[in-house]
Amino acid sequence: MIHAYKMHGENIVLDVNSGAVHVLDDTAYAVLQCYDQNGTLDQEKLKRLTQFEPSALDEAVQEIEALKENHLLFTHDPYEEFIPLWTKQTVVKALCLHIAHDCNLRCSYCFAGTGEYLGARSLMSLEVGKKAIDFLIENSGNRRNLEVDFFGGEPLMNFDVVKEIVRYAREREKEAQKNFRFTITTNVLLLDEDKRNFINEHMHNVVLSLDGRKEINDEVRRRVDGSGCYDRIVPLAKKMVEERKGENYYVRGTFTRKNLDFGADVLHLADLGFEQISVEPVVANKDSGLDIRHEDLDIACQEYERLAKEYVERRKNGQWFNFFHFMVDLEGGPCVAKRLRGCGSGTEYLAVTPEGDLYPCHQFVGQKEFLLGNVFQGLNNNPVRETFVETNVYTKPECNTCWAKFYCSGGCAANAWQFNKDIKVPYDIGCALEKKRVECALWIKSQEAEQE
Amino acid sequence: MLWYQMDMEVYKMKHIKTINFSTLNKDVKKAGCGECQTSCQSACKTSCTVANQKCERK
Repeated sequence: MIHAYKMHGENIVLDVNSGAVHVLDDTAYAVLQCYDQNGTLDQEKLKRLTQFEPSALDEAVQEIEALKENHLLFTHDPYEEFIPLWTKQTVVKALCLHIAHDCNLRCSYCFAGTGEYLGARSLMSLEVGKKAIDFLIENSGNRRNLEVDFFGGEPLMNFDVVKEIVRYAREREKEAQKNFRFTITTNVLLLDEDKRNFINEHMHNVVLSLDGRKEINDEVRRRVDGSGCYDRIVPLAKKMVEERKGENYYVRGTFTRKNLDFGADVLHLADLGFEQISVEPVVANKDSGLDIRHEDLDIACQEYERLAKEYVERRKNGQWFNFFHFMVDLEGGPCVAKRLRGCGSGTEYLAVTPEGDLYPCHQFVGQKEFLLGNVFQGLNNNPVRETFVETNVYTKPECNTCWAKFYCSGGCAANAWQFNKDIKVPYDIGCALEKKRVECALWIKSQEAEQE
Repeated sequence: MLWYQMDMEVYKMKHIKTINFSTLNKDVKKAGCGECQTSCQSACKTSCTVANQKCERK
């Protein structure tokens, strides 16, 4: 399978199964359109390319055939025999700890309501936190690297427990022969010096929430009294990044259908001096007025293309920044086994509520049919977990035939459930945006390859 | 003239420039150690992006 597309005057083709990427001139691109997905050339179509010199067409055909012979174009899928090995029941290696089901912001798009998810406001106790660490160690088999994300609601509202959980995990990791990596996702409001110091000392990564331009951010990210949070957050986030020496952080925003010109928000964050930026589409209810709709897709996709162009320009001209969704590591990225299964929700990645209940991920929390157990009693053999185990890009019809399957890994199960009530049927709006981001990422690679 | 050579950084072709060679299907037999980061923990928390993750073995 191949995916050929045009962007900003460049003709790009991705060979899906090998990961090879080529840039074609107009002649070769026209010739490539004469091939079917199996790599068979339609001579009749080729004869109709009368606008090109016959000798150039011959050269282009020769070059495409050479790529085929060298397994760089129209390659077959060599992974099928390995799928049973890669998709068997796995260990748990990552937990999202819901340290606080409470929040000091009232963001209108939040999937957690006002921080409480579908339950009551509550804080995780140290007892539950310690038990979660025990659960992770006990269920991680031989896996050495374990991850714990402190999440909410707002985890800084229960930071003493965060500190104690980190200390407990550090105590246990040596005898258990594990390596804990902690991360925290925060809205920044309570990020005082003491908390910053602790995070900088102990957290592998920190995600700082900020949506971009002040008017955009403050429209949706409001405090309990209705006021915006931009003016408080920006200096604190800058301080945090400075103290972390600009490493291992993301400023992360959300865009909605109210700011489909979200590229301006990404660039605003870059203008503020942030170099690690993630801004992604909201996943909101259909009646929220914020959700991205089918009729918005053209505008959003054009915005990604515009942003990609500006991104290349800035990176070339000394204004380097990194946009999470344009990152693609073509040479050293994850193995195909990882790419088949994506985030691992419900299998190797679970969320823990303040009460210790286990769910497939943070976005499933509170939906009782997805309750997978409790850190005190362990996993409960809920058959729904089996569905997560067997879900991968080959078991989802839409993904199996999609050119982007090894880049998005099948999309988000929670989104699939929210919109289609089936974790094997991906959220089509998310798919369209993800495919555009991958196209942009490959185009960016083509431009940066030219500069080298 | 040798116009196509596997070991070269860039193929010497007139109409096509290769910017990435076959990478996905390398080391297939060693794939799946599972030591890499859980993608949703890194920066998104609402969407799934995997291709930008790192392999722990590289």
